[in-house]
Parts: sequence; structure tokens; C-alpha cells
Amino acid sequence: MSVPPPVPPSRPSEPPGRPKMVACPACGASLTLRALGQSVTAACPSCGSLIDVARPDIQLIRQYTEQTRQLRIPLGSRGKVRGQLWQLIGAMQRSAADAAWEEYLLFNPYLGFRWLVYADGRWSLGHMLRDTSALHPEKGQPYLGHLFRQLDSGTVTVGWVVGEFYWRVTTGEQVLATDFAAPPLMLSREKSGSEVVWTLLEYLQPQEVETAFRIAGAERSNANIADSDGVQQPNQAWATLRQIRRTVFYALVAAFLLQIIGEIAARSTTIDVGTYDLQHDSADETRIYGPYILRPSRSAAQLLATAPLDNAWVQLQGSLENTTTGQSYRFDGSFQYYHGVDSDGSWHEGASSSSVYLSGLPAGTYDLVVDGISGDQNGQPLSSQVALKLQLNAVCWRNFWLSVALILAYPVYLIYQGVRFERERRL
Amino acid sequence: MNFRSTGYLAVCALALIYLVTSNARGYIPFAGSTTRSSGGSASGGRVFIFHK
Repeated sequence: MSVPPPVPPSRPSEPPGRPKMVACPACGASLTLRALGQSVTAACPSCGSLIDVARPDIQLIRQYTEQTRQLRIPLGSRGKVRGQLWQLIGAMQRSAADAAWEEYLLFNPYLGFRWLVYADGRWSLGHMLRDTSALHPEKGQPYLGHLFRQLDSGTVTVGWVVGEFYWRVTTGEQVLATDFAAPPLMLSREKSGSEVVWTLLEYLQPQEVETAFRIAGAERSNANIADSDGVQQPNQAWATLRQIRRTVFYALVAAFLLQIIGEIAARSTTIDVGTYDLQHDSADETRIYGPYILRPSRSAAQLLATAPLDNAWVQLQGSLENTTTGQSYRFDGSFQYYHGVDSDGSWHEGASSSSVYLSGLPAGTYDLVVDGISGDQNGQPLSSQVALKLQLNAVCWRNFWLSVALILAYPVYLIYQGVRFERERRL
Repeated sequence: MNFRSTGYLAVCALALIYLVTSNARGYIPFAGSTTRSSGGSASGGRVFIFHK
């Protein structure tokens, strides 16, 4: 809806009066005046007629033929909201542009009046602000530590009324309302003639109202998806993100420290294996290096290959062969380096070195078996050599980055959800 | 601490356990074309299985 529900003008609360039963001048039905002495208008729950209750002789203001509205909370209901006991004494429907909502007037003889506003499955609790000297949200000034953003402005019209009210409310009554949102809060400014009334509304979880007044849950088919009605609805994703942000930080720090400790504890050693001649015939195509001893029960190894490439490629295949068990751990890697000059200038791609990991090697003695082929621009094998190094007990950072990805997956999802929520409600 | 916070804490714990155990066991994800097969030793004149 374009304009969130505003709150009508208030009168200063006065000492509480006792409930009083009066007869409706229109239909004769009994009315219980619960805020006697403060209520000005009452709408008969039976026939909907508006009655002037400010005068000693109860008088009919306007008679309605419509039937009593089906209220979400029955008149006279009592419930505890935010730790205070309230009684519902009046209700009305208001609308603006293409939206309508309901406002329920709560009364506590010691605390005065509050408004329960219902719009599209969402509830908020509002109270009129008496000291508005520091209230300038339209100028970007924060209020209660919140920076409020101005929403739409428009004319709000009363649709129907039931119960008691502290001002002479009538159907069709109009005010100019402007709202400012800072979820879960909203400020509503209403202008009616020269009178300006500010109301502060706070979002309530629907379950809180339903439990307080023991009513059935309203339809909230889209309550999880923000729209313009959800201007007050707290961004649950942001709230959850705030809850877990320390955990995220400590988990990332812990992962980094564990990776460093793992690197130190692994005591990696790099062995200069030797060279592999790329110029060879079928008889000496396969070269065997070693043996190399792996002591940990399980460890990783990394083979590093470097060759002076000039517009050429190299492919190495091979394996680490366990000399005791005969198990073979194979690898396959290639690298290439090309460069040149074209109309855009000089270019190059690839690299003259490469490495490959071998994962989860059992303890034992191993031979390194290497078989390589190469080619230049003319398709001829290279006459150069590949320098080989073998890093034993290697620790790879892939595990660290996988852990980081796992740690960050949920926070990133929450950020996505939070941004989507804010976009959809178009604050 | 609510369900989501507790659940996320469990996920973080799993991530850290994975990091420690995989590093300790020399496990590296996406470690090229490493495969295993049985065969003889390459040294000592025994047969080894090697596939290009």
C-alpha cells in the first residue's frame, strides 16, 4: 500500500473512569463505554450507528444500516502487549489509494491509548508522540537513534468505525498522512487542518498479537516477502547476520590459524628430482626417479615442472609407484607458453611451469615415473629439459578455501536475502 | 542463541574439522587425475603399470 496506516489525533489522557452501560439511541442495543470520560464517540457494535458519548445525554450522530463488522479482535478483548494489559475499545478501517487497513484502539486506564494497526497480515503498535520538538525526519535528522526514510504521502480516509474513540471520528474523515520508516519503527505524521499529530509505530510479530488476544492467525501468505506493506517489518536476514557475525569472524580466524599450524606441522620438504629430456626416443621415453620415502600414514605430494618454453607445450604423465605394495598414484599435467605480436601489440599466454598434486598417499617408499612429450610451433619435440621437483608432505590451500567457502556460504546467502528483502519493499 | 545461530555454529565446526582432518591426511580435493591401480614396482626390474 502506498501509505502505511496513520494514527488519528489524540487528546491528553485523563483519569480513568469506570465502564458504563448505555443504550444505543438507534437500535437499543447495550453499549459498554470502557473509557468513559475520555471517549467522545462510540460506534454501536450492533447497528454501527455513531453515538456522541461526550455529552451526558447520549445522542445519535449518524445511523448506519451496515451490519457490525467482523473484527479481527472482538471489542472488549483484553491482552498483554509488550508487558502491559490493554483492552480493545474501538476499531476502524482506513484506506489510501489502493490499500486499506484496520486500526484497533487499545485502552489502559493508567497508560492511556495505543493503536494496534493491522495491514496485510502484519501488526504494529503505535502511540502518539507528545513532544515533537526533536522530530524532523523529513530533514534527515535521526530520531531515537534511527534514520527514518520518507515514504509516500497521501490522503487517508476512514472507511468504517466500531466502538469508542477519543475524538469525533466519522466515516469519510480525511487526513493528509506522510510516513517515515526505519524498520522496525515507523513515524506517521497526520495533518488535519492546522493540527499535526505524530505517531510512532513499532512492528509486532503476528504471533505476539495472536497470543495476547487469543485470536486465530491471519493470512500471511506474503508476510515473508517484503513489499510496500512491510515497511516496518524487520529484515530478518540482517538480524540473523548480526547474530552470527562474531561466529563468522572467529571461524575465519580459526581456519587461517589451523591452516598455518597445518603447514608448520607438515614439515614439507622439496626434493630436486632432476631433469627430464624432452628430446628422446621410445627407448628412453620413460624415466624413473627415486626412491622417495613418505613417513606420515597419509600425506600429499606435489610435483613441480619447469621448462624454458618458447611458443611450445609440454605434457607430462606419470605416477608415484609404491615399491612395496605396487600401488600406483598417477598424474597427468601439461603446460604451454606462447607469445607474439599482433595489431594490438605484444601478447603472451600460458606459463613455463606447472604443478600437480597427488592426494592421500600412504606411508612408504615410492618411485617417481615420468613420461613426457612436447611440441613447438612446427610440431617438433623440444630439445630442452624439464626440471622436476617433488614436494613431500605438501599442504594445499584448497582445503582452506573450501572451509572458508563453507563458513561464508550462509552469511553470503543472508546478505543476498537481506538485499532482496530491502529491494522488494522499496524503501 | 537460537536455532539458526546454533546451526551455523555447527556448520563452522564442521568446516574446521574438515580443514584439520583433510590437511592431516593429505587429502587434496580436485587433485588432478590421481588414480590408483595395483601393479609391480617400477624399480628393481619389476613390472609397473603405466598408462599414457
